[in-house]
Amino acid sequence: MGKLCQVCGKREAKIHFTEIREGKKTEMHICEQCAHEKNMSMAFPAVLSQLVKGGGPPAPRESEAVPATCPGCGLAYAEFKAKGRLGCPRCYAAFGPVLIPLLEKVHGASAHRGKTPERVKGAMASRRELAEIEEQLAAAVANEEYEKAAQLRDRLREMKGKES
Amino acid sequence: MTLDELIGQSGEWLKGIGPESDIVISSRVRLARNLARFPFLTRASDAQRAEIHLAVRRALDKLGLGDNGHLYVELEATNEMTNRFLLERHLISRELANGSGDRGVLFNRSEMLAVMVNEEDHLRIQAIRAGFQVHDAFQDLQWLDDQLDRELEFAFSNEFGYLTACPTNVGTGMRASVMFHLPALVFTKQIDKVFSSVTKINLAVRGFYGEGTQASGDFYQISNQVTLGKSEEEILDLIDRVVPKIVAYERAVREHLIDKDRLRLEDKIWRAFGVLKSARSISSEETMDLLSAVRLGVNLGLLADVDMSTVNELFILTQPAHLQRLEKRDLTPGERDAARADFIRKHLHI
Ligand SMILES: [Zn+2]
Ligand SMILES: [Zn+2]
Repeated sequence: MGKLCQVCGKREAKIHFTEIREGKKTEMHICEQCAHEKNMSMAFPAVLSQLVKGGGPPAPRESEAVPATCPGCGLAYAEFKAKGRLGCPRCYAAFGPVLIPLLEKVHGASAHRGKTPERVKGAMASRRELAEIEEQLAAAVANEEYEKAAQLRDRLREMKGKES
Repeated sequence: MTLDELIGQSGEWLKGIGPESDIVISSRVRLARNLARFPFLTRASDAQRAEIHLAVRRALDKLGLGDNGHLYVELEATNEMTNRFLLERHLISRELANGSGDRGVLFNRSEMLAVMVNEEDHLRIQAIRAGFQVHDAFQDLQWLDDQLDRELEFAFSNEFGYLTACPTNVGTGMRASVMFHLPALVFTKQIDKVFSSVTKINLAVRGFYGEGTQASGDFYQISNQVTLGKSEEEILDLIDRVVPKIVAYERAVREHLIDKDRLRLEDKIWRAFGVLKSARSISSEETMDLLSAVRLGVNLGLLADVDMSTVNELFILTQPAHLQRLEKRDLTPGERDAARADFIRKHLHI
């Protein structure tokens, strides 16, 4: 019989992972049943290896107020800590104070620098444009340029109509 | 397109073409995406899960995959054998195969594009290419990613990027991986050196193997670990820098073996070929091991009459669910080993 499963310690390990992170090699030997239960696939998530080792996400610093549950989905912070999975998109903002140190640890960064969806880019651009026109409108009114102000107001109405 | 059509073909990425295809089997990029208006799957009700499934299916039906045929497989309706079959072909993940509830996969005829629905995230969009082509694989995904976002509105924040169920995927949501065949580095026990050099630039090396180190067929994949704080291009560039080094290392060791240890190398390759051509019963592990040696022999020009695509395909087609689908019935392990040996003999006929 070969190595015993590192998770249950009972059955023979049939699946062997070698994972290397930050220069440290970790070998994992797991039986098929535990691998199924832990949903292990070829893409072995880093968080999982931390969890198996009993690490889990870092505990929040006491001074920081972390909500006990996410207002979006009701996920308890303790459950996230136990399972390493978030419940909904709003969890990221809700658990931000504790999530950011975890992200720093996993990724060495906590701010996105990659792709932004076209839809979001478009929305950001039109929000910027709206703000600019509103400024021009205020200036036109202040300068009593009523004809220009009327044109700008029409333009604003048109843009807001398109948005909704 | 139907599932039965699949058994008579194999994915484009197994054809043994593409840059560095003697050593790099495939390049794969996958994106994790979630619909903004739903919770992640761990917190979704069955009804929400069904709704997500339906919304994604509608969007996919509308968009298609720009290919001459595609197939959507509802995994709730399939049996375990079908799921294993798709898993063996790398069309779905272990998580999706073993999961439960509403979920599925869409893929195109060439099997180069696949979308998994309700895996760990609502969507996992994947492109795979033969050989070393990570940038192309990434580009293959862009149109689909953009169109799906327009239809479905993905969860995205300016601060954290694409929001995913597991914080290890947040940001780009992108995992780029390259699958290598490194028999010479394994044979000469140099593989650990590759591991340690690769990790210095923050990539993960994964070996996935059954019993015994050779059973994996000497396949290793490297992939990015970091998904946040770097752009997609920066992540791909990182992979781009390391792949040629590993390829050069494997090639150098192969040349060294031919120079200094030719007899031992040729003996190993010809014995492997001999067993595969003659065996009447063979296990999956032994097959992987011997095919690896044969693949090396083909690349070194020793086995000139064997096709690279044939060898590549045999790694997949000799897996248990493939054999049973081919035979159209459940096979006992003993019957499987016999069917495997027959299948290999037929395909290596010279
Ligand atoms: Zn176990
Ligand atoms: Zn939440």
